[in-house]
Amino acid sequence: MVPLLNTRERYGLIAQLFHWIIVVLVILQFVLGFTAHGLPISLERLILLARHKSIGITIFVLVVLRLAWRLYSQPPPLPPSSHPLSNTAARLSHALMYALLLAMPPVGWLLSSASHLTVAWFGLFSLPNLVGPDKRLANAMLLTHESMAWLLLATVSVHVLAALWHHFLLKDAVLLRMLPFTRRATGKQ
Amino acid sequence: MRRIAISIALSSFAFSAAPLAAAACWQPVPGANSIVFTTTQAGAPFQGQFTKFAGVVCLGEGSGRDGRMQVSVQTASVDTDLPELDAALRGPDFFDTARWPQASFTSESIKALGGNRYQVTGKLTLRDVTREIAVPFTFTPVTGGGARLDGKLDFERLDYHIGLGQWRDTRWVGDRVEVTFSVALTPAR
Repeated sequence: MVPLLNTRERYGLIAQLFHWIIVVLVILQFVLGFTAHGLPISLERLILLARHKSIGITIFVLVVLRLAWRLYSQPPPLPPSSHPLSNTAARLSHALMYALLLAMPPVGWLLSSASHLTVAWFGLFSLPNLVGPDKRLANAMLLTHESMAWLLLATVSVHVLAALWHHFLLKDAVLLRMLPFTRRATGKQ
Repeated sequence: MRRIAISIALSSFAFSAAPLAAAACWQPVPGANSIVFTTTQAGAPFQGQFTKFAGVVCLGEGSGRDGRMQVSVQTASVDTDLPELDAALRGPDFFDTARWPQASFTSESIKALGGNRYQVTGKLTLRDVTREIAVPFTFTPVTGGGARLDGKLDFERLDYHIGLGQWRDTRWVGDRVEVTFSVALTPAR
């Protein structure tokens, strides 16, 4: 059984839940966002974007909680065998992913506000508008939100490739320690 | 630029300078007015306005029982700060402004409710639907010989065939529409 807290060897259940729930939600965000982007004004687009906004708020809250949890329960250190350069790359890419996950929802919120569309969370409550209608700001925020999406996609790709590289080429436990169903999280050195 | 739909001839008091002359008629001051509608999209409030409308209101002295009101709104002047959405609202599924360029309200009676409060009963026509509604409003003389008319009404958009096809869905686009108006008036002439 995976412990709740992180250990020296692996991520605990809470950190793993945060990680994998956010993975699923971010994939959904890409699908919803890019699908809606190609549609003309329609009910379908309204629904896709409404869900995109609700999930975006959810991701933001989850990332804040996740970072708080990360402070409370230290993540397992990188294997001592790994190269200092790859450690730096790992820290940088993790920081960039957290930064994008935290920045994209407020940029989207600003985009919606500037577009004169109030954001609601699954129809249950709505967020205040940050600014009044402003077409130039809306265009700038759309461009920012999209650029961030591409940057996030690129960083996530590096992250996934790095995990696979650790697992299949370095044959260490870096990937396994984020997986819930593996018995052995300590890799062979 | 605003055209006044109802002509002047109504009032022999048109040249009276006194703001509260008996059965005085008033018309909107161009550019100083708003007709704002609020509904919901995906559970969040959504607002737009009509920028072009004309009308006349006549109130009898004291009781105001013999008053009348006529308003016509240019449906193509709908403005939500989202040009793409405005185009859709002018289209066949919403106001169909090519077929119904005007929305109108014609009073049947105006009751004085005391003070500056009144209630007008009359027929509201949107698209091909005409229904009787009652609308409370306030009529407030202001210094300088003008007056202000404020009020609000609400209705179900589907009663007036606003939002056909996919847009009938009231879970994502609210059925209830609230319209608030705040109009600066000047004596009609």
